[in-house]
Amino acid sequence: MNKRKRQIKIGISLFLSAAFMLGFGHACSQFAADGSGLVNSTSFGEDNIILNEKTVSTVYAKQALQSMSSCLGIANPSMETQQTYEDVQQSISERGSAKEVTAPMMMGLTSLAGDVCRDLLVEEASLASGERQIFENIDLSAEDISEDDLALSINRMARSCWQRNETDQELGAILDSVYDALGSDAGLRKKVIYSCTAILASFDSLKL
Amino acid sequence: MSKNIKKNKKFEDHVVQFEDLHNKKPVTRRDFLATGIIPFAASVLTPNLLNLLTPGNAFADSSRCESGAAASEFPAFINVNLAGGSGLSSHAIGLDEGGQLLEKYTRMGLGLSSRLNTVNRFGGSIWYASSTFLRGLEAEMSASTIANTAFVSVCVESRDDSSENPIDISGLIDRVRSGSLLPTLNPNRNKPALLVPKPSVAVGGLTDLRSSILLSGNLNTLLKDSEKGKLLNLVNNLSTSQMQKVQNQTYGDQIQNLLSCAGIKNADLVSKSDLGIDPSADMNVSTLWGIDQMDNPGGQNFVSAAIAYNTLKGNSTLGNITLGGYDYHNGTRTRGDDMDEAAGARVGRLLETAALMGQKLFITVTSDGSVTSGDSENPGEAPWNSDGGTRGMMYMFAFDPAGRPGLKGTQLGSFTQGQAVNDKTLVGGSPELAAASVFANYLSFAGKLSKFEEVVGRGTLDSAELDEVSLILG
Repeated sequence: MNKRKRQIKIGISLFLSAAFMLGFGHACSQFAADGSGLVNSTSFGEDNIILNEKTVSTVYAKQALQSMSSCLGIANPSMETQQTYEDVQQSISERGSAKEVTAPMMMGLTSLAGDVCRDLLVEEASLASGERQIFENIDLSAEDISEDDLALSINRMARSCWQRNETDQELGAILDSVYDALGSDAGLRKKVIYSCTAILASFDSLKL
Repeated sequence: MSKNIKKNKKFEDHVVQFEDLHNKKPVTRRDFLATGIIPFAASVLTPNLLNLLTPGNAFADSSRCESGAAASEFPAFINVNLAGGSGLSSHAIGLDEGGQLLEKYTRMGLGLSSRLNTVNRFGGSIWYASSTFLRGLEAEMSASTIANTAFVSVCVESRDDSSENPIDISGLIDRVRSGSLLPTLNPNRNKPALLVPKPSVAVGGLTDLRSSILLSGNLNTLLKDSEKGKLLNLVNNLSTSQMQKVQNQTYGDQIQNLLSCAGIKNADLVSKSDLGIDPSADMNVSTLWGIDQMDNPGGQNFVSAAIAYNTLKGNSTLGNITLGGYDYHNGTRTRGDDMDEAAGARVGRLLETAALMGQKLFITVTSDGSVTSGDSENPGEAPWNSDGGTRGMMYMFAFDPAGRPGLKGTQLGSFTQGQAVNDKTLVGGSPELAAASVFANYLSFAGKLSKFEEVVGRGTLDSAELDEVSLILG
């Protein structure tokens, strides 16, 4: 009998709590507190909160350079790269909100990625071939890079910055774009920086 | 990659794989061509692009990328915010409900009305004859620019020394007007009115503008323009396929739309030969602002000129200029007078820039709070002693090179004989409603007042109120 009473009490409490939440929750969410009837929208797009799902966000201004450098294992970005970071920082979202992505932000991040990739090439060229993270056993003093070696470096960059292997489609798209845009005799430096920039400036490198 | 292939092997037993035929996984471009992953070399990006533009993938539809109309359809908009609480109501004089002078302005720095000299400007508004703001303004404007400018004041209370006043209408303007190259230039430091603005670019100089629409750093010299375009396309296509994974996460669909639109826009930008964002390239504008290409491109004049030039040209959505140091109640009158003269000069130059470029321009001048003077019967004499948010005011200027815009009145709201904003008027006690009314005037000036409800929604101002507050005509 006591158990039955307790169950009824809990049921009534839950019902009242739900009614309270519904009533007050709805009222407070729609209208301004001053009673003016103004609705304060909090975003420029429709908010679509999906329960039990992660919220998508991107790198933000303060960490953009550090994030790109660290995924490629660059300890000290060059002065030139730091200057580029200074130049583009104002266009990068301050908070990394998915709703703050703009064309200038993507342009800035692509420029920054290009400089970080140049630093990668310079830094790894100064290391012994076997000590390199991305270009291990690849001849960086050569004029050009073979397609197999370029594919190998793309795989290592993808594993470092996307934290996964690239898909066949991604590898195909990058290689085709390199040869279509630059031609087959563009040289090692251009091919490597082009493909590295594409990886570093794409969504999987920028998402948090 | 081989891991992935092996992982899926059990599902593919019935299909002869590339590896089976060649004893290796596909690695090179030629291999991919051979496997059919790339249909043919020159069109590797096409499948992704087609995918982007497939009706089912609404996020990738480039027609959805611009929510506002082209800048040419709406006048340029610039807000000048005087941070700290400028005494705007001591320049453009606040009138009572009947449109008459108050008996006295002894706490507003203008003394007794019987001793007050006034002048009529910009289509009928009444200004203090010795106003330093007006002096600065007119020093920068030609007679024809003055003749083609209309002015309306908005009597509204606001919080002193605070960024919490909801008077930023960037989020309303950016729903109807889109820059062709750039978003809003500089954020507005005030709280948004009704709608949160889209992200802006902070402008500290020409470098900021350039790096927003051009590749900078080593890519700028390493790659030719055609190569830059292909790189940006590649980035966009990689991102597009990668974003499919987050489609069902919170904000997943929004980031897909924004990132795709950003990619499409950037790839388009690099193909343009002359972007025309440098104000010093325009001789008339350069002379007016005292800038040229050798000057410091990060200087205050350069930044204001760049904002005016790009907004008037339709490159940017709108511009925000914040001037600091307007919490000037330091027991003197001179500091406030000097600061207000500088603000007037800045606004005057903006209007003159519009005249030189032959473009319509709508300017708002806002502040957080206002000032209170010592009690004095003599106009222009008493020092500013304290804050005075109950004596607040906003300005609206509308310039049309074809002639002064029509006016239904010169003041929104009113002042009481107690030398304070009449908070019983529609706009007097609510900075947000005052801001909505300013937006209504912008739309009215553009000849598109019918857009108000579409942007703001129902319930903010009804049709009678909308008509009442829309004083500037197109």
